[in-house]
Amino acid sequence: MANLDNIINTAGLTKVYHRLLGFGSNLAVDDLNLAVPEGCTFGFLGPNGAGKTTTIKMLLGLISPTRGGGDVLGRELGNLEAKEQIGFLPEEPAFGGHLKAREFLNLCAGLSHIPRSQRRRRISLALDVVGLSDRAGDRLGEFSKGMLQRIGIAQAMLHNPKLLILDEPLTGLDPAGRMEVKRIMLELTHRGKTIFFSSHILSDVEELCDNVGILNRGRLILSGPLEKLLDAGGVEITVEDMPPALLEKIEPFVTGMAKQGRRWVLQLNDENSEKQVKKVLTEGGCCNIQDRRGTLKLEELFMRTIEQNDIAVGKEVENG
Amino acid sequence: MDDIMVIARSTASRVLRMKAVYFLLAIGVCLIASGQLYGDITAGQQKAYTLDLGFLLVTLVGVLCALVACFDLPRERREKTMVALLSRPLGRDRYLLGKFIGICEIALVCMAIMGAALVVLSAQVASGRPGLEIVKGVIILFAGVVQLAAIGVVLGTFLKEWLATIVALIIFWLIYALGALACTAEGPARVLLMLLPNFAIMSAGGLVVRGVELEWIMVLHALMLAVAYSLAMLVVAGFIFKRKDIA
Repeated sequence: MANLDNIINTAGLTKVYHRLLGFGSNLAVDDLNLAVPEGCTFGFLGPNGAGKTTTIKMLLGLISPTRGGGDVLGRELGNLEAKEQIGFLPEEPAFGGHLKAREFLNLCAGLSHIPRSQRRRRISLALDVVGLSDRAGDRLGEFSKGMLQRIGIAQAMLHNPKLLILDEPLTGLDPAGRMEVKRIMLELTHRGKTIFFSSHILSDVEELCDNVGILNRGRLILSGPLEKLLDAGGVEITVEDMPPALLEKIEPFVTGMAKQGRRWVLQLNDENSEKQVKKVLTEGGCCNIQDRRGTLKLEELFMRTIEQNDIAVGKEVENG
Repeated sequence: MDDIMVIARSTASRVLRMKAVYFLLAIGVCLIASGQLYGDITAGQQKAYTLDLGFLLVTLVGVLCALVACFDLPRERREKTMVALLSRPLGRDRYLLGKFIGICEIALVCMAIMGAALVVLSAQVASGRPGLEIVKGVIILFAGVVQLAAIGVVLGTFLKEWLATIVALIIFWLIYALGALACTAEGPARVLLMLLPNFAIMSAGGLVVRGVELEWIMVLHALMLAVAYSLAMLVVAGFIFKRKDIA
């Protein structure tokens, strides 16, 4: 299964949660085939309850898959040697408020098998990167959400891992906190780390990621390089004085249309539809036909993909 | 080994930061020290009363420490600290072993403090050298506490805090009661009773109170039994915990 170009591969990864005494079940992740190239920043997107955190926990071996499997850094999910090269920031960082920042990082260093002689230097470096050097002696219980997130990133990068898995690193932060965390993530990207992170904040994902995967109802419905996905924004055709009789003929090919005075704006998904519509319009005697290649915003792509998937799932359910 | 000791130290330090522990120890030491005042009301049995109360308090403190295992694991799971810890290159069996060692460390320290108070007091109220017998008695009690802590670790891997604690106490009480039957039972029942942890050894304090001299071999036997039983329990705990989703 291992594709050596990819740092994460999964094949048919599925998780079903069974309720107590077998009363029902919940399909959290369904047949997930994920490929994350090494060196990229991968945004793992999806609405609440889509299965993002469950997937991340399966990648880390915290949850065992019901079916399927995968590999991270060329080793099976949950492998301890692979974990030596993974840094993880949980969705809700719970690090024990009684510990001071430095004590906590020292504990993490011990668990990551960092030699004692290197611990002090590595801890200072990590605190420096996240801008918390002056708070090293403060207890984590006194930290704000943003500071906890930063100390979370510090513990994740402490052992200089190849892969960073960050679960919702930007959620719940104020604008300044978000800026700070984004700065750290960009710095890590420049250092050549692979970052796999889940998020709801699409503008941040668009800013940080070069690859994305969109998960809905446990299924990966779209995945690939962000630029390519956004370029697939379809075609927009504008035409003036279109006879109403042509509307019926072009309807099967368009995904949306709007009338603006004498002008019609038609939206199409692909080149084939474009050809068909242009043919109908030309044969119908229309003049002044203009086309424009569209580039989507990630938010549009996300909403469109989720909506289309919801409709498809709805039809599947209707058809039994 | 380093990662195991990191978990052990972190467990012990968290317990040691609880004010309740110091309060409990202070009350215990004060109660033991109050043994000096029993002179007139014990009809010449001051030594026996002092030792009896002292061993009871040492046992109580030890049992409470062992029960930390019942709520520490479920609490770490509930608070999701476990997610942060087990996402690191730390095997689940090593995590459990670290927890167990940390709890045993705490029990040892607390019981040693109480035991020391008892030794000091007994030197004042009793003639002869009961100190060494008290030390032997406390070590045997500790062996019992270690077994209870191992049971707590097993229960903590799959039950909630309160349920694990109640079940551990019930198991402790039942096995303590059944321990007396082990001598009289025959056949498979005897084998079954022999397989259970031996909490009867926790009556060692009673022997000291009655002036029975405890053999070192008995102490060694109790410790070996505790180690063997704990290892077996940790294997069971590891088997359960490996299959558990850390959600």
